[in-house]
Amino acid sequence: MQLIADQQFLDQIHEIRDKIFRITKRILVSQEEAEDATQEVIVKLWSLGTEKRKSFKSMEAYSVTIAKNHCLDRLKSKQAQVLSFDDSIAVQKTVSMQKEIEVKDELRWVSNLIDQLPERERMIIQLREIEHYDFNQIATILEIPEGTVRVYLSRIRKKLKTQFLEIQNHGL
Amino acid sequence: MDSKKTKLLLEKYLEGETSLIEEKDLRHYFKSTEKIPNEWEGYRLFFGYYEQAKNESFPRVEVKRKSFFQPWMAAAAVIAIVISVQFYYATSNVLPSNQEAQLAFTQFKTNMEKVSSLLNKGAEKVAYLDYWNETTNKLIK
Repeated sequence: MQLIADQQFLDQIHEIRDKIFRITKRILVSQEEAEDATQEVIVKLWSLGTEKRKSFKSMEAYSVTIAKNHCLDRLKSKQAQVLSFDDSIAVQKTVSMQKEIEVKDELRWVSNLIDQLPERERMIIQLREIEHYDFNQIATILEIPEGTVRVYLSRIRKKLKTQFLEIQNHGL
Repeated sequence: MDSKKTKLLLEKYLEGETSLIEEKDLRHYFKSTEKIPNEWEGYRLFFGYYEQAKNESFPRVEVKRKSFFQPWMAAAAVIAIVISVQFYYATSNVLPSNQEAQLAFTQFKTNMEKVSSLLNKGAEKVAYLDYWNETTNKLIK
């Protein structure tokens, strides 16, 4: 019995692992940290036990919620450690962004632009634009009302549009 | 989807009012339409990015089941074969012929006989010691 349950878990994880990885990477930005976070999230899911896992309506939504919380915790502890470095990091990013524009690596450039949004906005982009979750799911995962998700999303889309136009007008 | 409908959808999109299906249509439009109005260039860029971002997957390779034969074993086996073949040829040339062996053996034998006769001479000398022991024993008694 246990073996069958294990296999089930592995199959489920196989399906959602990439998704968890993409979401953790969107929040944490760093590739290595996202890899570690993904592993840790899977361990967390596993340690819940078969019974608990079966009780969830959607294992996927639950996993993504766990991933989100895990990453936000990571960010919090990181920010506490390197608070004074925040400014220098921001400067570095804009410099590398300029470089990206020079080489006209469009996708990298978009990715950089998104990386500089606050993590909640990054998360909403990931969940809606990339993973294509509906508003109800996003609201559950982020633990905010559906209406708020729409408001956020609209704000982000407009923001990205103006940012793009600004750069376009200043000559790419 | 024509550009008129796209324009309406984009307005809805900015307000966060589009459904997932409508957003799919938008992605499709920007992916498949060659000539788009210049002011929509940004959308093309972002939708293009979202599309490729979805394909990213977890990079760590799963642990393969361990087989008894490791890749390095093949290399080790080849090296071992080469060395043993070389060793075989090298030693087979040096191996003495039957005659030489006979000669060496007789030489060795005579040498050993000499050594043993000398050894016996020494032993004769040592025989005195027994005599010595006997006399001392007598004296002690």
